[in-house]
Amino acid sequence: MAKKGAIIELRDVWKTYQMGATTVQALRGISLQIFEDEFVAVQGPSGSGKSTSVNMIGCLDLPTKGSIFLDGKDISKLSESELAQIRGRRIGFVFQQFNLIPTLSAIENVMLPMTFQGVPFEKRRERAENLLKLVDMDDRANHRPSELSGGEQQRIAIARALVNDPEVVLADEPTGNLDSKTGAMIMDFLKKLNKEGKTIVMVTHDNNLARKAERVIFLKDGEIVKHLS
Amino acid sequence: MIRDYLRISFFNFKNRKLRAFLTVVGILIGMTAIISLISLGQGMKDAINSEFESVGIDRIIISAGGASFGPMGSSLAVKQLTEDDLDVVKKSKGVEKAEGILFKTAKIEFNGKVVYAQVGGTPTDADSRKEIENVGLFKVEDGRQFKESDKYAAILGYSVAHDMFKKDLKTGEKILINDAEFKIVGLQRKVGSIIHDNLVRIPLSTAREIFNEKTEVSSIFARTNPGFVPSDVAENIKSDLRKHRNVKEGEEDFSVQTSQQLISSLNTILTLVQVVITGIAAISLFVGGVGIMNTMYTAVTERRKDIGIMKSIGAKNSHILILFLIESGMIGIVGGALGIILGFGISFLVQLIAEAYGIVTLKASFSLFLIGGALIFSFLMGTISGVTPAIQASKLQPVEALRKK
Ligand SMILES: Nc1ncnc2c1ncn2[C@@H]1O[C@H](COP(=O)(O)OP(=O)(O)O)[C@@H](O)[C@H]1O
Ligand SMILES: [Mg+2]
Repeated sequence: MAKKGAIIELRDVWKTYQMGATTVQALRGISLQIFEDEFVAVQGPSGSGKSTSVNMIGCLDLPTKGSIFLDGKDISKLSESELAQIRGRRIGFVFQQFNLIPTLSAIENVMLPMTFQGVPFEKRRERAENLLKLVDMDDRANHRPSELSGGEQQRIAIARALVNDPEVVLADEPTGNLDSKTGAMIMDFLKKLNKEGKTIVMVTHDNNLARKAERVIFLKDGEIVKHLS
Repeated sequence: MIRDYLRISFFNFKNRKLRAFLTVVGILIGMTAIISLISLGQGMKDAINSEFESVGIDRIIISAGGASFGPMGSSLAVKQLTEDDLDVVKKSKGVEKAEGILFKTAKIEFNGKVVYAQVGGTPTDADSRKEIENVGLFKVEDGRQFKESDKYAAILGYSVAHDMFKKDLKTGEKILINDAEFKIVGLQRKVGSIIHDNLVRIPLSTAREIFNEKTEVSSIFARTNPGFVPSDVAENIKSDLRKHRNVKEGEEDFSVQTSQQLISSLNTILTLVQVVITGIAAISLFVGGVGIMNTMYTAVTERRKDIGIMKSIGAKNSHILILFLIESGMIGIVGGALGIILGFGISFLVQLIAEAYGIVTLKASFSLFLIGGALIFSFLMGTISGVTPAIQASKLQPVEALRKK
């Protein structure tokens, strides 16, 4: 399959969380590579470390032990603001809870990632409008998230994830809070994005959805237990 | 960029109106105090200065009893000053001129209406007249000053002529003072001093007759010789009067004050008032700052998730920091703006009240410079109060921030 170099590589990544007196071993030596243009699904029971892995891939979290390479370079050497730049430009996050800013309108939410990249207002507005059209939400541009259905909010979230034209879209159970019909629609959209050249990593419980991916990684207790391609 | 921050911050501010308002109260009170203090402070100084410019700084006022501020202190318990004391003062080293004035509260009647006012019996010999007429507070705008031959003649203060009776009194009209008929010969101009605008002047000799006071003088007004320092002359007068009235140093039953002392005691009071108001302002601003800090900590906790979201879509720590600093600055500026409005409102009210009481010189000053400075100050105040919460917000780990509590 993908013969080009990996965009992102996790090499023997461990993550330990301290919860008061108890330590939680979220990841125990995960190694994986994400290649350009692929569609990877991550599966596993709740608490198995799927979100933690995806957050590592998206440079949102750093390992307790082990290394993460972006384009072959170790990101542990990067500063906080350089990591923020990577998240802003090269990665697009889509979450299960949509995670829109509740006080901003749909279009303002979509414009926000560009704000942090210093894109001028007019350009942001134009680009956000185009993306809202792409997810078929242009007629809801000025609504607050609370005025939108789950499926609509997730479409806004996808528009936001795409607005800085990232290479990789990380979707952590994007259909988890949606009914199956809406979920299928979101899935089709992600699939279409993948065809257009985006690398997609998607966490899902749904075997039917996972089957549509090129590659499936199974996690259990913070370890990769199965790897299907 | 700033505009975007403002949008994001201001949205949050708008959604929490009540809390934002409560947060703002401290800054509001503090700024109100500062603004009214500054805008009135200059007016107060001007008022005092102009009052004393018209009196002159080479004046010394001697009155019976302990230290008092004006010529009104003629209570029964104290040993009064007399013409003899006046003679002593006139002979004191450094005294150029001195006059005694007899002040009494008297019944004034015009057209059947009775009011009570201060009547001042002033000497009408040529020398004394010249002295009195030179004082700005006794200038006449209509009619004339006294002549040596005047007996039952009166010169009215502005308020007596224009405010006390139903109609304005005019020169040539007659009034009754303690049932004796006087002809109005002059009307004083408005001088903005309650005492002088409410005074009726009559010749001293006539005052002695109608009040049946043979020798008493209520106050002695002395002018110093230009070659002497007023405070030295005051000491000379004090020592001479002690000898004459047979009292020990420190037990004086009279007071001697130079007009400079009067100015400085008024300035002391003014300074005291300013210190107290500044203190109140400082405390309010401090409380306001703590309030903003508290509100911002709450905001950081409430917006944890938003912070996580923003970081996941590319916000740097510095973006989050600026966002919260601008938000706390906005709270400061809103408090400051309300304080500025309220402060100027109070100043304007004080000015109106002062005008109603005839203190025309007490003008509130309104300057754009002051408004701009106050706005910048309150923005900085809010920003500084928000520094530690903003740092806390900016340092949140994105994954931690995103997790539901
Ligand atoms: N920030 C955190 N603090 C403490 N424990 C955490 C944190 N994030 C994840 N965990 C724990 O790590 C384990 C893996 O979590 P997660 O990656 O979210 O699993 P999944 O997404 O597969 O359900 C869980 O036991 C979870 O409770
Ligand atoms: Mg998860």
